[in-house]
Amino acid sequence: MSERVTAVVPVKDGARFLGEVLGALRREGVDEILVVDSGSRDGSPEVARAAGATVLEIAAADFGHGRTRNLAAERATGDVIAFLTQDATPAPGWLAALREALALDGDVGAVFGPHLPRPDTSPMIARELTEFFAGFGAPDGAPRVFGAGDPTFLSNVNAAYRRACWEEIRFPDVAYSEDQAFGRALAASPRWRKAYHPRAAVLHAHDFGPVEFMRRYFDEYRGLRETIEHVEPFGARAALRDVRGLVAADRRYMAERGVSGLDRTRWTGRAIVHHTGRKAFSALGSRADRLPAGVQRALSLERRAGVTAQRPSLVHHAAHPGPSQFDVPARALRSGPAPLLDSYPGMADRERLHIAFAIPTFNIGSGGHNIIFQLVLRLERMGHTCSLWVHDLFGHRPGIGAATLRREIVEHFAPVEAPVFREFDEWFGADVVVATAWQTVYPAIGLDQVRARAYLVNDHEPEFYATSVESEWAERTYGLGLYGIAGSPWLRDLYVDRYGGQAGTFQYGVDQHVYFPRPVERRRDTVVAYARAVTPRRAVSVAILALAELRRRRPDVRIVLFGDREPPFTPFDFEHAGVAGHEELAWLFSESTVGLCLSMTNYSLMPQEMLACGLPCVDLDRPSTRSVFGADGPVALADLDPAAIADELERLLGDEDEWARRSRLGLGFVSGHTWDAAAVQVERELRNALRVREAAPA
Amino acid sequence: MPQAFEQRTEVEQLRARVTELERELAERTRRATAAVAHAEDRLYWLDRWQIDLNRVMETRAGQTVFQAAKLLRRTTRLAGRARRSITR
Repeated sequence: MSERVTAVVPVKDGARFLGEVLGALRREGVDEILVVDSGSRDGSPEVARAAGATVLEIAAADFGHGRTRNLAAERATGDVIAFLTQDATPAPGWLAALREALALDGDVGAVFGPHLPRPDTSPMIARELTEFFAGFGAPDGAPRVFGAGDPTFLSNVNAAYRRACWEEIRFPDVAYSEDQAFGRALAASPRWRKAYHPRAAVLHAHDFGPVEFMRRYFDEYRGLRETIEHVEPFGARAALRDVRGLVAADRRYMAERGVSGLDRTRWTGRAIVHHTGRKAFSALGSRADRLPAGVQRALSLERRAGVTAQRPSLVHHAAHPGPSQFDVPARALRSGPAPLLDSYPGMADRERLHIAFAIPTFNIGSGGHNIIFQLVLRLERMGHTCSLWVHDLFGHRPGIGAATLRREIVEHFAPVEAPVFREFDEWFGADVVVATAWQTVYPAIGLDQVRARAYLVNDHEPEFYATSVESEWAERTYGLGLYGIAGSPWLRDLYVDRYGGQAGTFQYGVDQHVYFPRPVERRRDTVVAYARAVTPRRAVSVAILALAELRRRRPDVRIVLFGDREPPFTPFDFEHAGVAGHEELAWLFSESTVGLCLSMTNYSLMPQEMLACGLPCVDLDRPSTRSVFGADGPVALADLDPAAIADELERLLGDEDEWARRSRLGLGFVSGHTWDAAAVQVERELRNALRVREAAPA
Repeated sequence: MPQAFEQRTEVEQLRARVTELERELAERTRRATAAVAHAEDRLYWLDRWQIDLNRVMETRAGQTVFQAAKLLRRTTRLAGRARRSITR
């Protein structure tokens, strides 16, 4: 039993040919005729009903070439849905040819046929159609099934679709060329193929006036741009050459069909206008997105502005992975930690350990790295072997070699003996691997040949970021089972209480060979403030407001800012020390009256270095600073409030007894805070990490 | 009782052996890392300028410079030897 065929004809003011089209469909024997009328005023629905078609009426505003055909296909009852335009009259044998093409193969999902010229069609269009469709057929005139690499052309002037194929692909909701988009999707489909049958023909083409033709081409090529991104090339010389060739072809076509000389001359003039106009308007249509909406409407036969103006301009880029290594955390989170080496009794108490530090890449002057390298230096002096493994997650310093990094460490931080490795390709194991920042935890947990893993936690790093991959991945590192060695009691409590880890603590040291009261007269009017504005946790904006308030209260106060190459914008005048070295800072701290250094997360080294030079300072009253300095210790603590900070600064500037008390407390505080003492604490915690491993069940 | 004593002695011997092996491993690690650090210090300028000397010496220009240097050294040595024999 043959498949039921529904013919769908979208109509708007199509009465001129509609009766002829529907009559031909009846003659061909289609099972169902569905006419979709979108607001005709010429009686088209009545013509359709009189011809026995089912009429579906929709508002003109609801019409869309893809949308309306999908709607009709949903209403159709046939297994095959044939789409025709209101002026495409099936030629005798049309339906039989469609059925024959569909029967060629079960995977033929769509069939199309040629458009034949009507008697009034201009020679230009008639020739073009004849030549165009001649290219689709098989050489022997038989139907042809298309395969990979064949043209994707499909035209809903005259095409039929197997319902299953249409259901799978459907027409996109585009203003134009929904059939071309379908053709492309069908060509990409692994299941469906397309066929062409030269006898499944319709009489379609008819003549328009030259201007009408040009505006049609504008619409057509704008539609091709919108759907398949076709851009018609245009060049004056090439256009002239093409027009000459096309006109010559038209003249040959007319000669072959015996068109009289006078008519041939008349049509030649028309052909020149036609082809020139086509060249210009197709190029314009392709580039309609560059035209104002009013111009587009004026050039368009449909009187509409295109949607191309809103389409994103997409540029293809070849794959280029770049220097960042964001795949490392993703991989580590997926595969989990590598197994540790077996533990054995007494491994925590061995005299000499090999400690591998996984560190993020660095710049000279990094405070966090200074802490690491000072500890490495002391651990080496205690007899341990250290190695440094630099991980560059963000690709900040591509191309910098290990030898260069080692020289930077030795010259600008501490004269360590440890070799430096870039990334972990040459990994050869260690007693303990120590991650030193969130991004180094992920490669560290993937390292094997290790007895224990530890995590030198210098700050609560998720707070460095707004909600992001970085903040989330930073936070997850605390739950990955590394033994924490925290830079303050506050950090240790976070690690243990919030994240359920095991951790000990150590206190930062001060290089007291550099930071001590220098022989310089102490000024009574100078506030020295850390103002590295690019580090948000340093609350520089509030520090500047506090200093402005202080200057308002005490116009004679001298303000010195440091910590950044660029001086910040301030409502007061100041002196700028830029990124000062340790030696310069020691002198600056020794001559100043009060220091101001704010930290919104863990406390920093800077207040200790100020205290070591006898300089009382002001920091924020946060759990971290409170846990280290105490509520009324060497550092005056203030809320994150410019006035409160200014109060503390003013008190230390004006109250000599309070200044002397804080200065004395500060010198006493830092006397016990050496890097040697810090390294002893860190060594103790490294051994604790190994002890935890020893105690853990095998 | 003697069997338990023997077992304890054997465990102690094994522990002592482990400690000794661990000490040897630590020493080997120390020497290896020191050698790498030393090599890095020597290679600093090549690394800083990102010069792969092996690759340079594989080029014709590298080989020409190398041969010229060898020739110069040989000539200098011969000249020195001649000077010494004349002035002896």
